[in-house]
Amino acid sequence: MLFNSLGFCAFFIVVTTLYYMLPWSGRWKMLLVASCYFYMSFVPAYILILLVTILIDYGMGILIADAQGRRRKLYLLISIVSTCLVLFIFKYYNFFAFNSRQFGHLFGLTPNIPLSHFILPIGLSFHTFQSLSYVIEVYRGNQKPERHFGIYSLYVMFYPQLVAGPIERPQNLLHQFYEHHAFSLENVMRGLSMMAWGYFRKMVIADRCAIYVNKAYGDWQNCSGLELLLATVLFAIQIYADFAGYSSIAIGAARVMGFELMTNFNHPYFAKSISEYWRRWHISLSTWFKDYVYYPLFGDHVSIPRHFRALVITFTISGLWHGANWTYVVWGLYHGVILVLEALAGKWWRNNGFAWTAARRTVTLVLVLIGFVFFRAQSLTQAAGILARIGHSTSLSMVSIQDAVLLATGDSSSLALMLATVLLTVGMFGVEWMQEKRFWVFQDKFAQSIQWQAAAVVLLFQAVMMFGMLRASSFIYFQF
Amino acid sequence: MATLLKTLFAAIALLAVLVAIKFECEHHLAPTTSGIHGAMVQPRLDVLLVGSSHTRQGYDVRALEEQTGKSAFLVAYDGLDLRNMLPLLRLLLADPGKRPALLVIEANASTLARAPGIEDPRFFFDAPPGLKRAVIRDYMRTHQGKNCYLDMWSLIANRGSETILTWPLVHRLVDSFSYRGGYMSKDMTGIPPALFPSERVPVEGDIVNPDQVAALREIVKLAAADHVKLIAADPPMPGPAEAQPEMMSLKKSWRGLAAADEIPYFQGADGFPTDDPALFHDSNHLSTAGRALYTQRFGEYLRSKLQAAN
Repeated sequence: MLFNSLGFCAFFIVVTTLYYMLPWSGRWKMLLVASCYFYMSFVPAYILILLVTILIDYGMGILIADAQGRRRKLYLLISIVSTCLVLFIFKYYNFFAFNSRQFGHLFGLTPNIPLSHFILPIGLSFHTFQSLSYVIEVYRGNQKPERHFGIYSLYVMFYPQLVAGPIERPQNLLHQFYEHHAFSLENVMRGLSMMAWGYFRKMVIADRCAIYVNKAYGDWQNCSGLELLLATVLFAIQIYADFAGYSSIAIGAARVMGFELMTNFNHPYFAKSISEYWRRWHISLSTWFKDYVYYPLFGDHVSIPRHFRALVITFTISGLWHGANWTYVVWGLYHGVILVLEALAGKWWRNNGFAWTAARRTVTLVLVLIGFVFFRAQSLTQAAGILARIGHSTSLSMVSIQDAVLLATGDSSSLALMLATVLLTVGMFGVEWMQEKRFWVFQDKFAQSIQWQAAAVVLLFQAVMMFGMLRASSFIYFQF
Repeated sequence: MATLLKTLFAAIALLAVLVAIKFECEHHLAPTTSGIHGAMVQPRLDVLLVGSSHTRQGYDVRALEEQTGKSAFLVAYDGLDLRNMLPLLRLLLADPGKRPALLVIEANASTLARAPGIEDPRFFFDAPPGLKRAVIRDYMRTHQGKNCYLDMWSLIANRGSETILTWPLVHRLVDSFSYRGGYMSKDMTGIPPALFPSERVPVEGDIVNPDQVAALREIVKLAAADHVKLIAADPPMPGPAEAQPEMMSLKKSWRGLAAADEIPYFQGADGFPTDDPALFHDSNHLSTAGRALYTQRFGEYLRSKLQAAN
């Protein structure tokens, strides 16, 4: 059940209405049943995998809290290994098997490693990480173990953020299931306006960009450098509008019921450096890696070479988290290396003059775009081929521009499609720029006035219905 | 709660108003040198060509006019089938003072097997409200289920909104790129020889769709009633596509239908070098060179028909 489907609209209305009609004792049960139904609408049988993860981490959380000394570490290890094992079997096994075979061939061996036929359970990486953050926080003593199995299950399965985050921390979410959220028009309007903004980003911007991107990357060998460059720029817009749009819908849907989920995006394309970009992009994952990989493995006050090594390793793992493909590994590694280079550039790079700031923003965007070629490509060969083509055969003649525009649909409707994409995208980033610069509309009016929020919902609803791609298409991050 | 209901009501009411305005007015923003709007603002035409992209790509209108000395106009929408061509022709032939002397309809074999449908939303966008209503009625008659309502909603409320948003610029650019409904300077290259043997047209079997046949019969009656001469013409496709068994069977059906209704039938592939990859852009469309050659051949045929009529 995709957020951008009619089925979800009906589901959302029913669940929210029931939520406010029920007493607390009924609310969590209803939310848990609704979340199970939501998850099972994708592949029903895979709820059993989720149940296994929940059972392990629920049990280990209690055992860690009740145990003393080295046993605590043992239970933590059992929890981490078994949860990661599930992730490995379903997400990485075939990648491992295939590459082992290839590696064997290099030495003249033909290892007989069978491939599995499992389909990746939707959102597996997200709820695995959310579950892991719980046991780690219990181990660290920052979170009491949750002894209510139903509430713990709801923490992992809460439907708004079940399949693609934000990856919550137990300290932020668990206690909210015990709170009685009375109906609040402020919460409902704020939530609905966030959802409407999310739908706008997904259905109006991301899905429109996807038409061009899919066409160009699907037939990249027959595309010119300009077409591939345009497709890469559009992919950067698409993936941001898609994932930030999803996050807005998730946060908004939770907010309507009075829950506050963590912010996942903070205008990343306005960042002045790659390190700032990562403080603004997929914040729940970046902070997860910082809290649970970087610091535990490499410590707080470390030598500069060790810090650099840690950055590269953490980002490479983060790349692999996204998908079982070398393209993601290289994408993560690339960002790690850029961060090291940025750190080496030091104060010289952090100059704050107007021209410098503009230059830094531009360079950051270009670096992000190069990385996205690896992220979107199907293989490293394809990524290298696309980058080479962009570098060598990008022409800005009228004929090339005309051909590049026509690629979208092949006829005169391409022109309207591309121009509309530009106008709507400028509109989206214009609003984000005003949010970034804290314009009075967002400070005084929108944040505080229910009428302004209602007006935003009405206008965004018109925009989605009239300019949105109405055929429900999946969100990019669902595949992770 | 009242605020919530007011917001909901305002959202739906505003949407209803905007969609109604779009439905009634969007055709005024359609291009003036192509499509329905373009055809309707022309003075009385000698030749009107109607079809899908197969037709648009098949004729060089300027060359055809020069060769025959007659005025011509081409109305083409991607995937336009006989079922949707019928209400379009009813509109275009409605004014007795503007009826063309000769009507050339596309005799695309693959369309004959297809279930009726609207492939190109520009067809609906360009249509005046009367034609829109006729298209909707017909679509609801030939389609069933929830998706049918969603398709219609999408067509009425959503498709074409980009053109409205970008109209001042798009309108001018599209107008400057077309000559009387046909392409003016679009260069379509040939198929790479290595790919040529695998060119195939996707066809939904070789069973003739009764809705399409019924529409053809209605078109024949309409032309006869309005005293407009009718020709069915099919621009050629690459040899491998022409040789598909389903295509051969459907072409035979077309020939039979044309003979039964006594419509002159021009089969573009007859005598055309269909084995030359340079003459085709893809499995269903001619290249610029192929368009020039086919237009010349069709022009000769047309001239002979017009001379015979005189």
